[in-house]
Amino acid sequence: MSGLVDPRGNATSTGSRTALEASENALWRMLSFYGVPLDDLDAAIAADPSWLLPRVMKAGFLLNLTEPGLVAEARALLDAAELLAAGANERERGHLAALRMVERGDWQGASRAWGELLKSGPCDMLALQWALLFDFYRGDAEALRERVAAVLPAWSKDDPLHPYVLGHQAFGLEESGRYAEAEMVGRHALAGTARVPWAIHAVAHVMEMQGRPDEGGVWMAAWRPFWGQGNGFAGHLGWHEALFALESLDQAKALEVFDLYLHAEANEITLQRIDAASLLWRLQLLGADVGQRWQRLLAGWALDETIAAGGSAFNDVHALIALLGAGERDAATRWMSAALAHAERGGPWTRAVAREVAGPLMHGLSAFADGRFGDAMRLLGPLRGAGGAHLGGSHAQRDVVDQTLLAAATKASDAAAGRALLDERARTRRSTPLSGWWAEQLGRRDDATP
Amino acid sequence: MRAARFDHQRRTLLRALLPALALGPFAARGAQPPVPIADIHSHYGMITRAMRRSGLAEDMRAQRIALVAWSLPSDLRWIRGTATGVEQFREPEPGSLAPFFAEMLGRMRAYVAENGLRTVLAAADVDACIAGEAGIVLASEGADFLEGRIENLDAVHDQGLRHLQLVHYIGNPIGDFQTRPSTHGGLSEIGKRLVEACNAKGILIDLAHSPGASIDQALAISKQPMVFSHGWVDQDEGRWQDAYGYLKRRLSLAHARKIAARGGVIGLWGLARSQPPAERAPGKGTWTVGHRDTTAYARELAHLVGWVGADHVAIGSDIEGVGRSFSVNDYAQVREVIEALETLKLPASVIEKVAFANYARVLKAALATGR
Repeated sequence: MSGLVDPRGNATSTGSRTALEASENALWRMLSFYGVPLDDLDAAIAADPSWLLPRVMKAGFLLNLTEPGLVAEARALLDAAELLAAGANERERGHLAALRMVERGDWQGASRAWGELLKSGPCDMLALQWALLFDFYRGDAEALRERVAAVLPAWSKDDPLHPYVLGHQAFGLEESGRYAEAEMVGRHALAGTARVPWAIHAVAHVMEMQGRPDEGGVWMAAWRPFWGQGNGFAGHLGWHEALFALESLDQAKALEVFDLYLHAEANEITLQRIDAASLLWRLQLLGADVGQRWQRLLAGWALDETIAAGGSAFNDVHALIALLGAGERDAATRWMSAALAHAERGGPWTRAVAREVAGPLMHGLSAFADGRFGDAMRLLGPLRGAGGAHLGGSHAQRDVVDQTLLAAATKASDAAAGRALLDERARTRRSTPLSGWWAEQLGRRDDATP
Repeated sequence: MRAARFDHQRRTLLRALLPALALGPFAARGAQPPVPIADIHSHYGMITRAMRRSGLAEDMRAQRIALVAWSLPSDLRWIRGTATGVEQFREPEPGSLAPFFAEMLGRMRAYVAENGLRTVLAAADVDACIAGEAGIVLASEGADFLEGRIENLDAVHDQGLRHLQLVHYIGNPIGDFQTRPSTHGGLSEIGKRLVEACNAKGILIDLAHSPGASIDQALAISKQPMVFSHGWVDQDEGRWQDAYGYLKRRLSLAHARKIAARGGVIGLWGLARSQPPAERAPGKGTWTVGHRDTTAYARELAHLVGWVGADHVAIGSDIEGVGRSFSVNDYAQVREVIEALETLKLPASVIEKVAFANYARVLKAALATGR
């Protein structure tokens, strides 16, 4: 059947302009985080019940959230989409096949499938968005960078979605250590009228990685109108704003930002709760009194290990952090066992990540919580940098390993190891009040610190 | 012991991941997209090539050259090359400097427009170029076109000039230059006012060809970081009495560090010598780069990074300006220099600073103050 062509030249199998426009709205919401795309996708399904893609997009949106509890609903949508596959084109069926892999936990296979779609359709924004998301979940910085580099020449600079592609480019460059280029590309993505929180995010990452907390705070404040309200990325960008405050040793500000963007009632999904857990853990490493925030966070987080564990190693580790932070030691042990056991039943990638990264990391964090600081250092040390990248997430997110190591070195009175870590970090980061504070804890004056 | 365990872990993990990686999303993984490059001093298409047939735009696009400070020698008609360097060979007729410059600048603007290059006028243009466009910073090597009148700067600013080198090779009312005896004691009063005017208008100041005294005076006046776009750095400053032009053009390490301390950038040129010494010998006037030797050029860049810091070094190729004595004469060869920096194992964050980010930083700082 002949269908309409989307604004980027991709063939579709719908003849309904209403359905296509609704799916375009949904796509924009996925890229910009403004609102949730489900209503748009329901409208697209209503306008053309025979069109496979809106159902697939809906399933993809749910699976992207990495919530084990949403997998059943996504599976039902994919099952319904299967019945429409005969009327779909190859690209649309390709998305269905990729999401089936996600549903089975084969994130790497899904990334590969979307990569194939991009070879024949470099302006398939849905394929790019999802491929990059799962590259990110797998901590594959090279793919984050290369995918965008490969498709960018095919994109018109006048395309309304071009700034979103630039936002992705900026983030891939940042995760590859090409900070100056990342910052300029990110700023360029924001130079027009498009609201691109991902580009704001990429530049924030640059500032975080280079130790520029003052500029970072100004940056987040300046762009707050584009992310602070009504945006699904507000929690994560709030987390970045709080990190800048922490880097400046302004714990009060960090807690204020936490209470604004990451408080328990604001958190609807695990991806938001992991930021909350990560921030509270870092605050606690600095000796901050976080009050009842751990308990409130856990109260809203359904951590039934029989259902919730094992979907994502990154999420599982952060759930463990929340349990350890709250002092729920027994629950933490149960959670860790369940998560690692679940991963053992997964595919080769999942097993490898669990054995080589998530397992040692969970044991190391538990050792730290138990006061076995030497064990914590032994387990966490190899997971720095590239050693822990396959856990997924960004360098800034995985920096929780470094921060915990510094705390462990301090508490274990292993000043030499702590200083070596600080020296290594100083190669790419400017000295900040936080690095100065760690140096002081390790018994050394950091002369470069103001 | 810990390292051994770590290596074992890595090997185990890699073994587990290899089958999947082999089928990864892109077959040719590992080849990074090229780092953008900024050339902070180039005459490409002005001296040894015919501008319209020069292939500059195509070369920029092919080699991912994000920014070129395309520098028009304001005294081009009044200078000549000799066996030992460049010299003024006649006096400009009164009133001839400004029309010459306007005509040439017009040709440059036409080339930029005809070839779809982006003229860099504001900070946002710099970002756009790093994000993928090919941009020209209209630049002048010498302020002779002013004919001593600061108010004439307005017209060239309106024409898009954003990077101005104060002096070049001919006698002028602005200031002294490295290759002739001092007549102003550094910058003249007009020269000092020109520094202030450039700050006010958002024009990047280029100290290349200026002697140490002028540099000190400009540093005392300028509110923005400046560049020394092309030349090289030695322990001691060159003297006008030196036997060869390249020796006269030495910037002292002390002045390089002063420029750096104010946030500025030193551009290293692509000059080649016929029989370069194999090793650097500080203070001995040794420039180790030979013809087409991009590796030696990269080594000199890395050496300068060690001397003044990664935040203060850039490429100022001086393509066509060094005549036949070049190590690089097109942007494929400049790209080789960047690749040689990678071979030298400089960190990616350092390479991108040298390749483009340092120039982008100071240019944006200068442009931001414009009115």
